[in-house]
Amino acid sequence: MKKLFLISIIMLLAAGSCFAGDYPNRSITLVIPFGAGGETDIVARVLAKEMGKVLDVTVAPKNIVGAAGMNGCKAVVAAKPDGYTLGVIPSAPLVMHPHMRKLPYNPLESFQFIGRASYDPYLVLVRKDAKWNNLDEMIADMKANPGKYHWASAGAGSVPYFAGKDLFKSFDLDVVHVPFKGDAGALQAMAAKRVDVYTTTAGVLTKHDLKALAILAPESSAKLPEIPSVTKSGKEVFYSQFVTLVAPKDIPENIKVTLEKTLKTVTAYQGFVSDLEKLGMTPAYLDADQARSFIESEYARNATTIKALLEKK
Amino acid sequence: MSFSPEVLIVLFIGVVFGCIIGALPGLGTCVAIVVCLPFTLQLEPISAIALLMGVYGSSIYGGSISAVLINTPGTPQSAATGMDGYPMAKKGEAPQALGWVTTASIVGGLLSCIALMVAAPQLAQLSLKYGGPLEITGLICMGLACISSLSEGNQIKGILMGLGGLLLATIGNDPVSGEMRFLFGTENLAGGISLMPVVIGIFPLAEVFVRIHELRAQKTATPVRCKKIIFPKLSAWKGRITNLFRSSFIGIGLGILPGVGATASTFVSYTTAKKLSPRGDRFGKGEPDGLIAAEASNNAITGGALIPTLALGIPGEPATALMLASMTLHGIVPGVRLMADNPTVVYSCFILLIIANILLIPASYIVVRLFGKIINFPPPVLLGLIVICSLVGVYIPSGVFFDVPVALVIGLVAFGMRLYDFPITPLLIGYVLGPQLEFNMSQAAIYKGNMSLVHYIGSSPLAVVLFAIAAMFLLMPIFKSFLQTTKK
Repeated sequence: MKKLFLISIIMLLAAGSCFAGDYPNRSITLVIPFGAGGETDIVARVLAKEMGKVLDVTVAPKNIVGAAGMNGCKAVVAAKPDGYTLGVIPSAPLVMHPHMRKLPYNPLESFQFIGRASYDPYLVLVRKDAKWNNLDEMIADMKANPGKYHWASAGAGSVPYFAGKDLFKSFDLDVVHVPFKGDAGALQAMAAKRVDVYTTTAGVLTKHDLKALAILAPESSAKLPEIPSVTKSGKEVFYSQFVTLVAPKDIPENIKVTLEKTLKTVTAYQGFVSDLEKLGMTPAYLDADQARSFIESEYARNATTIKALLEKK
Repeated sequence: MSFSPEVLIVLFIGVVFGCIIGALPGLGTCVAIVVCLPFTLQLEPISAIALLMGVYGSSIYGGSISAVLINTPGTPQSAATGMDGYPMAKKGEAPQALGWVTTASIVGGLLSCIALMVAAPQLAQLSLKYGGPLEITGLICMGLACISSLSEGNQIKGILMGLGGLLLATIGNDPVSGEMRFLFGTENLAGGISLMPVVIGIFPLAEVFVRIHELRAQKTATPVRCKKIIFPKLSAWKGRITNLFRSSFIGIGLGILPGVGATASTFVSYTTAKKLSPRGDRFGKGEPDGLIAAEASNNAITGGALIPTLALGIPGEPATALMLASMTLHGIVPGVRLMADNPTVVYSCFILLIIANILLIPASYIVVRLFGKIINFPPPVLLGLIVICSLVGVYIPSGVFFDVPVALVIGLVAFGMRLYDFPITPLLIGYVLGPQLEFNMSQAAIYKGNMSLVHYIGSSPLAVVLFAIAAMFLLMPIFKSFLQTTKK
């Protein structure tokens, strides 16, 4: 009797997980390769909340941190491609880190991109009370005073690091680099006048006393039309933060389509848009194929710039 | 600004929950807040803040309960509490020890709330001005120098452990250049060894191994019994009030400076109290002064760390980073504008934190009763419980399984250290402060540029003072024991 009972329990449990029901019929794990509270984490949690409403299952965020996002990415790559493990991955691990060191996966080949959720170009930021009012003034001042000014990065290898390095190298300026641990440290130093320039997304403009001198994108953005593009000063220095939804490679086509549709609905939904706006980010939906071409072009563009920047060492 | 009953209920739940999670060895503040995050998304903004404040304030206190009762601090900040708390418990004075702990925590927490209310913007500006790399390096040197005082009588081993901690922290990537160090061929170490495996290995796991060893050697372990809390009488506070206030201010001051963190503050406060208290030589054997020093400062950190978080939008410590994220999602944007645009939010935070601190009293009764029963479980059950909580506590924050074997290895090493009488706390101090030290020193080096070293250090009077105090902390105990041996 006992054996029969045990066997039936086991079978019920096994059966539960291979229900031939529609996808999704149980909760989905959303892997976040960075720590709780960070930018990627907040966007992911908002996504999880909204996707859960649309798909009518729990979408559970799970932080897997370490090694600049590598641990989280590895977890998604290794997960079962059944649509129940997804990842929210920002730009750096996809298009920048592969050019810096050997990764145990190839971002272009190891993921199935579901789509892009947001896109925010970087801005060149200085204190509100700084004496420069546009990029050209800053460049002229720095040219006249080599080594006098300091710029902040969020740490060696971060996007602000490459953005700053590229910016100053393109314009041939001698500005001292001071690394910090993440945005928080850099912004504090900006406020304390220990550094003069920082690059990051527009989200910080509402929270801190900063002004943007230029936007690191081919054109000004619709949200901030008064900020000129860096191309007006003569060089192309493009850096941005974008957040993508990915799944392990080889997930079934129908699941991929469902997820694509979900992402499209969520990113258009007013609640999502306003949540992202509170963070200072911009929803910018691209479907799976468009996201892939976008990422591939970013990857290729960064390949040349990063290799050149790293060589100078 | 209305405080509906819902807000107060949520606050109380947060306080009890935070207390319990803080007390369970291995879990701690960050886990408690992360677990609450999904709930905060469902609540109204004020209730969400109430939940966070409740959990934040009480989880630190909770860590001290297990430090006193089972010598396994539930949070790194409570490590200093166990140094006097556990000896007292072994002497049969656990209820009194908890009484001291609770009162000191509440007073420290309340004082920091008052500081927050009265002077948040000014203190925030102070943190900007004095939070430069040179000053923070001085502060960290002070924290590291505490090692010497904490291992009096055993200095060489203590300093060795401190250096060991510093070395352990170098595994992973160099904060300035990004180069990888000491990976030993595996990318698992690319992120370095995270804090949780080290804290859990050193405290709960090593303690479990030590107890198993004692049980097998059939040494009768002194049972710790605790049925309730006995609060200290007012007369017992005579001569201890200065300590209480000073420790609270150390906590507030260091909490404002981002990055230094609660752990460093509790040790600096403990060491200062040890030097300045007339009962200094009884520290480590169960002296309430030590408890007061550790607890007042570690709860005072909460208010201190909120100051840069709210006033500047820059988190004072990891737990506040999570709170910041939660507030942002609710449309509350901390930062320079917050005080101007949304003063109700700011004052709500203060008041909620004050109430949370006061609610610690009823919460402590509940939690201490609960833990009093738990520590009476037969050793195999209790130890098993500790191991499970610890390993879960290692896994939850990072989600990386590799941390679990790392914690076990560190636990075994720490067990070995305790067997051979190596003080284990310096390892923690070296490990926690190492990365900050290296980072700030590197930054200071960048700012120094071509200036002479003397000129650079001299440019900041505060830094000079901090380095001088650090030298004193480091050298005095060595000097003292040298004098003692020559006297013989």
